[in-house]
Amino acid sequence: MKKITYIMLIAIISAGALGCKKFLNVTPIDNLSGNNYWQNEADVEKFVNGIYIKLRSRVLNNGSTFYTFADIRCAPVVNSANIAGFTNLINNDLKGAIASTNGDYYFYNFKAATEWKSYYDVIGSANIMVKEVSDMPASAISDETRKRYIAEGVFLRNLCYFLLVRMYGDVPYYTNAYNDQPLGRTDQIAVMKRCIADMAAVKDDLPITYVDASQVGTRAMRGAAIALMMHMNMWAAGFDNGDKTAYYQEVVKYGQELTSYADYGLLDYTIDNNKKIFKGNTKESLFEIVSNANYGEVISQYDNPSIFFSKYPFRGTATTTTSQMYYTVKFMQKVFPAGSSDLRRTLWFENADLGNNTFQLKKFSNTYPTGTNNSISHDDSRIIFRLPDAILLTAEAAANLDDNTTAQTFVNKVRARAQAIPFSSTGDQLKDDIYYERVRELFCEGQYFYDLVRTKRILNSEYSDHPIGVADFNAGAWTWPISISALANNPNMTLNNFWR
Amino acid sequence: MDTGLKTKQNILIMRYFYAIVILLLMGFFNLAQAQEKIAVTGKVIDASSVKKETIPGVTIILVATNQVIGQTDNDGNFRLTVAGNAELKFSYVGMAPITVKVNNRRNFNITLEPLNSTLKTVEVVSAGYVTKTRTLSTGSIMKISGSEIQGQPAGDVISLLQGKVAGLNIQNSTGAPGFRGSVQVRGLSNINVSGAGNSAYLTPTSPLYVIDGVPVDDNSTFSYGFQQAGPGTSPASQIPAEDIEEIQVLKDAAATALYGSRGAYGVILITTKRGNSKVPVVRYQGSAFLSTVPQLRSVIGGVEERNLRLRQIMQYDSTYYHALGTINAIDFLSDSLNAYYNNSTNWQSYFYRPTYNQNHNLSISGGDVAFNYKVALGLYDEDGVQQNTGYSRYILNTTMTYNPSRKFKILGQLNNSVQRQQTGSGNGIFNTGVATGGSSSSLLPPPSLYSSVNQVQGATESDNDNKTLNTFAVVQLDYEILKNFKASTVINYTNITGTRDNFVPASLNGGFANFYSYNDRSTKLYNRSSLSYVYTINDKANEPAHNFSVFAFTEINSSNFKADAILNDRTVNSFIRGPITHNPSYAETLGGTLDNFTDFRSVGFAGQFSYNYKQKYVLDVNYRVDGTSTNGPLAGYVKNPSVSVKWNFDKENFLAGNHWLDYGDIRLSYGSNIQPNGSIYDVYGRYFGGGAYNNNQSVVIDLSRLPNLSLQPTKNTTLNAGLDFSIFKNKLNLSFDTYYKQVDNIFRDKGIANINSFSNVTTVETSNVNYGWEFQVNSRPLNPNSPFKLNVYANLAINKEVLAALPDGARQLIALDPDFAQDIYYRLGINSLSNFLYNTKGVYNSTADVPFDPMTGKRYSTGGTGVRNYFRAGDPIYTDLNGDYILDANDRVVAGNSQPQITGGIGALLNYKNWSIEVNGSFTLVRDILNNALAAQFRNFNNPTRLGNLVPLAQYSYWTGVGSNGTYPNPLDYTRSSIVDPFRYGQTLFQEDGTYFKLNSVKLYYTLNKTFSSKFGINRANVYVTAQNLGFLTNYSGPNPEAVTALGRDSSGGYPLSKQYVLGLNLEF
Repeated sequence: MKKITYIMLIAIISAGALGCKKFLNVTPIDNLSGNNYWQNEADVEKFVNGIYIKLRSRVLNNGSTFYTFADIRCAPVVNSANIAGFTNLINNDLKGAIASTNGDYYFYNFKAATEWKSYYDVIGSANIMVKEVSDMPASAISDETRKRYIAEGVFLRNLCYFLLVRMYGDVPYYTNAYNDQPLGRTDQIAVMKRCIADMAAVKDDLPITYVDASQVGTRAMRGAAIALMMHMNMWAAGFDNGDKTAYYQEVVKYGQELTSYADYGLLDYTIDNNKKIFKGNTKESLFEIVSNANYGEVISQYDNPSIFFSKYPFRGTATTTTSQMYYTVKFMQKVFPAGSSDLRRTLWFENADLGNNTFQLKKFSNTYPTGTNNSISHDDSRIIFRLPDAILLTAEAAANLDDNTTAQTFVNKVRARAQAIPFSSTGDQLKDDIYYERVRELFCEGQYFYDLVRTKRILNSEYSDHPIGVADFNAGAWTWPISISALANNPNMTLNNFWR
Repeated sequence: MDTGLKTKQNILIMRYFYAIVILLLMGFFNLAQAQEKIAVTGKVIDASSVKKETIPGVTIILVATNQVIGQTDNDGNFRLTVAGNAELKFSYVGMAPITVKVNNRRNFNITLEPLNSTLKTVEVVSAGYVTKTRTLSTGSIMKISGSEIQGQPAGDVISLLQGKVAGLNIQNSTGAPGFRGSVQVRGLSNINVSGAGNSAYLTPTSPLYVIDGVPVDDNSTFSYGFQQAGPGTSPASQIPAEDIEEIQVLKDAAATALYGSRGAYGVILITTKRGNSKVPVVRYQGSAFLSTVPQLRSVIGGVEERNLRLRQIMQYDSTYYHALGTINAIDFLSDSLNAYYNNSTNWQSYFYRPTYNQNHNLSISGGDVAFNYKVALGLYDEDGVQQNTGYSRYILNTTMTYNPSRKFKILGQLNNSVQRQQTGSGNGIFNTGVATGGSSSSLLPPPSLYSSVNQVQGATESDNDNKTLNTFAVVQLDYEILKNFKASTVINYTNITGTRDNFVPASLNGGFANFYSYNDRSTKLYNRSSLSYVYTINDKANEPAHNFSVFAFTEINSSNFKADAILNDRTVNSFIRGPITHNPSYAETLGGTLDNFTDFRSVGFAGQFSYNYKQKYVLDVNYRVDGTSTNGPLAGYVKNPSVSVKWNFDKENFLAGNHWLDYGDIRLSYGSNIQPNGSIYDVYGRYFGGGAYNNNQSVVIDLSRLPNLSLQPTKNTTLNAGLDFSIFKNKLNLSFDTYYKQVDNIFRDKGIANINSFSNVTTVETSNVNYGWEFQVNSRPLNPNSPFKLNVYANLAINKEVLAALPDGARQLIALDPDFAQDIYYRLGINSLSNFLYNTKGVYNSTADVPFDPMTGKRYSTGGTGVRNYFRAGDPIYTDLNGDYILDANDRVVAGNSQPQITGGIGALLNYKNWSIEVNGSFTLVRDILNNALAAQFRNFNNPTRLGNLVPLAQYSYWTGVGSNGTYPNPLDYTRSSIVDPFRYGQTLFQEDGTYFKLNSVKLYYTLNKTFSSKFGINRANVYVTAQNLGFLTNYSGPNPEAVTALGRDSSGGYPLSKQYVLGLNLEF
């Protein structure tokens, strides 16, 4: 009897004890909950796609900050259609731009550019993904896949930190998942250094390219990670007052690594290839954001630079006979002189140096008609990093290291593709040549203003029609204002004082 | 499971093992002595009871072995198998034990004499899931017998406990039929406020109801119709008062310890009646009652309203010509002959009506010890005094007990109810339609086919039907494995289905009828399996001395809730109500599962060890371990210990033989309880489909709440000290308790910095403390031999509440009220819910009284950065707190406490022969109410060109000109309203003392002579008349200081509490 009782007691208690962990794990039916997520690779894949969506919505949806704000700010552009706020932007009067009627407008939202939360949405989700994937049991995910996903998460968060630093200077930095601490801002050079270390540690876990052509360039690849590290090094070199040699050496090293991969290469400039390059998924793609009307994944047309610099048949309807903005004659004649041979001039422009609103940019030429009046919409994927960008950074770094030969080799790769005369200059002339080559090659690809800032050429009226004074620059005139929403629940936060 | 728990179980097992071994040895010993055995039956009767009442639970001891061999059942019957020559000892607490020899008798009755002849009854108190006598119960427990709350109609039986239990604060804040007010045990347990203005409400913290041993959590979504779309009736409200045997209110942690997983807000045990008579008994209890329309607000009607408006404009407009222009531009002022504006309509009269209602209960019970049953049928039907509102309830409750042998018992219970609630155009708590409709201008024509005021039609014609179908099934099995070693299991399944059909006719919705159809379902499966063991060691005199009992159980709970709704925004016309119509407004037409889906699970392991020495010194130790599905994985299982001791000093030798002390004891307890927080998503995050990227599906995490992996349940820790005594043969009973209750881990949403991506995180960093004193006095002052029997009771609870911690170590927080600027100020060290208001010190008698800035010479002023508005005669005096001679938001003061600090009640019952009269009242002292209704009335004067009703000003003391001393600023000078806003809601002018004494009910019973009633085959019959909600003694200027929100806001949209007059009849066949 006592034995039976004993057994019964044991049975009752152990049944309760063993069953309860499973019992307490609830599976809700209306949504997925974290305790039932992260079970297999498919869960990770879907979550990663979700992070890319957040990145896309930040970088390229309304609040067109990625391309146009970078291309037009302090640029030699004439706002001929007088779109509210853009003349202010051209003059680096961001407060005026925000106060204008477009300040809070749905399409060109200057105010939205002061909100940095959406970058942190990507960072927060990437941090969660990195942590949860690290914690998944070995039975759920293979080691190789786990490493790749972690590296992808690390890439996405570092990309956002880079984009944040370029816009706001010092930014709060964290890599832990589910952070709830009110962090203050970290010095931008320190952020860049930590990001570089973070990225370098897992860079080789990323594939060089993908077998699935649709993933080439659109998902994190080793090339993208390298390009990101090169950019971060160059940015840190621009602001670090100490010895910059190490940064440049890193960039040259990575540039050489990047060009050694057979999977990356430059396409010849033809009309067809031009379309392919900016549609994406080519050998030249390092990282880009998907836009594809066939998938129903359409990005705001207001982000595409062609919105300002094109007319029918590249934008609008048959009645759209003028562009909204154009580049000044002086600038166009300097960058794309009519006499010298350069495929890019003919391929990308109509009426390049007339200095009026018949100016047309044809660089982004993947278009499709929509609506009853056949309004033209753009369907280019949005390039974040392209191989020539990385090659030119290598050239720039090499020139800064006074390694003229390497610099020339790299810059002339880009020039050769455009069938332009190779550079043979040296020293400061070469540095200027490389700078202008970047302006040329990356025309309207969201690099112009950041190159000016990074190289401090923004201080010099020779390079910029709307230069920033040294004192203003040091006070943060090159940054964007940070919205006061950053102060909410964060006693450690400070804003960009220049804009207050 | 953690290892700590396992070790404990092992100890438990070893204890059982030894106990079993000892028992087995004793069993053999017993066997050796046994002779030929006979079955003996009988009954134990209380000698002191005139009606010869039987005593349940009498211990029967075999003298030869001094071993407990049985006890009497609920009816005092016993059935034993003993040797023919055995000697039996019957003993019971408070009774002189008696020893009898069987002498081969098969049937005999035993009569026990009380030890102290005045201590007539011994209360049996249920502490936890085990039953204990009052002497052995260590917790702070108050018991109310069912008969005390009968004879009063109520949609919700808990409301009848008002003023009966010290420390149970019940405010019947709404008179809406079937809705309940707020129920709080020992003060405020949650400080969170949501909503704004009049609809700001406090997160409810209802106690846990345990209905016949099954916990029913009232704080789930379905209970609060105003918070969530849902029918909103409480599961406790399906029990009619007539079916209740007794209610116990468990206040301290020692009493509630075993209910740990949800007992943080106190526990109320409800025991329903059982069948207990061999002859089937049919009882009928019926009543009809009249609900009357409460005092309505007096308004100015017809020409007087117009004249007052004209006077306002002529007297106070900027210039004479501007005044004329204003009047001429407004048709209802200038065109007095227009039939449309030539009326004197009392709009309130269209909403209210007196109603006749009924309540019937029929129960049939019968059976014997081996098998008994009860069936109860009930009907309750109440029409609200407000048009188009009402509540009806139909119940069918059945219980059966099968007890074939002493070892085995099975109990089955099935309760069903159908409840229907109509809330008109409001939601039961707030009736904004009625409030705005009732305050329409009297100049407008009364409703006929056409109504000039939409809200009137809204309140009377829109349908809002809520139906709840409630099924509650319990099966309980008890088995005595070994002597004194019992196993028991209870399984409960509850299913509640709610539907809501809300139809708004086209005339109220921009020409399109609107139909909202909602249904929800909540289910609960509950199981508790327990083992109990009792062991006694006798002293040298062979009296039981050391008594041990061990009780252990596991508890499993799984509950689900899901709600679906469909909104058809534009139906074809006002007559087709189904959602199956062509719909032109697809964008506004919505449907699907609502986001308040919950799936909650919990497991609990609990043990109780009790020890007493000759019932003199009692020690209870409880330990409970709980895991819930909403505990964060880093928080783990929550452990709740409790310890309590009791000293029954009346049993000490030095008090033995005294004639003045009936009983006396001192109790001390310490313990904690929890209440689960949040949902599974708050812990782990919510993931959902997020569209496609690169033609691949994605999933994203919801960014509104950061997952909190260490989310803890709310924890309530209570220290309690109590004293109970009864003296002079029950002439005076007194219970005194003092407590310290700390509520930690109060769940709160906290905003976090935007760099964290998530906007909020749920934190449990908030704490508050309640401490207080409770007195409960009961007196039977008359001689027991007097034909008059008088019982007087009174209770008083003083509760002080202090905010102890806020998230992030903040010392103060302000909960903003965007509607009325009646912000709530949370500051550590003072009461949590303070109002944050402008301090009004009176009215400037003359402009010369307005202070001026000695630096600038400018008068005290208000206004933004631009135009300054200087105060002048007739304006309110607002304290300039910061001394800058400018009134702004920095000049507000922390004023008042919206929570009642002293509550209690008094009552008396007088019997004389066949007559009895009962009176009871309740009171609330020291509470601040914001009289928003009055503010709104004064604000109606702000714009004489807008239609709205006006109240007579004669009863208010307001400033009428230089030299007149008024309490209120001048309401007629409407030009000040836009610049000084003298009648702003957020000022102390409208904060009033909400102290009240309320006469709850007067009941008069007459019992018919038995000789008379038996002629009609009626065993017992009585008739009664009750009047309830009779009135208030209060200084509060509003209509009802109780019908205010839990935050002390009196809005004109509240549902009034009506007076009710009842004529009732109780019959027993």
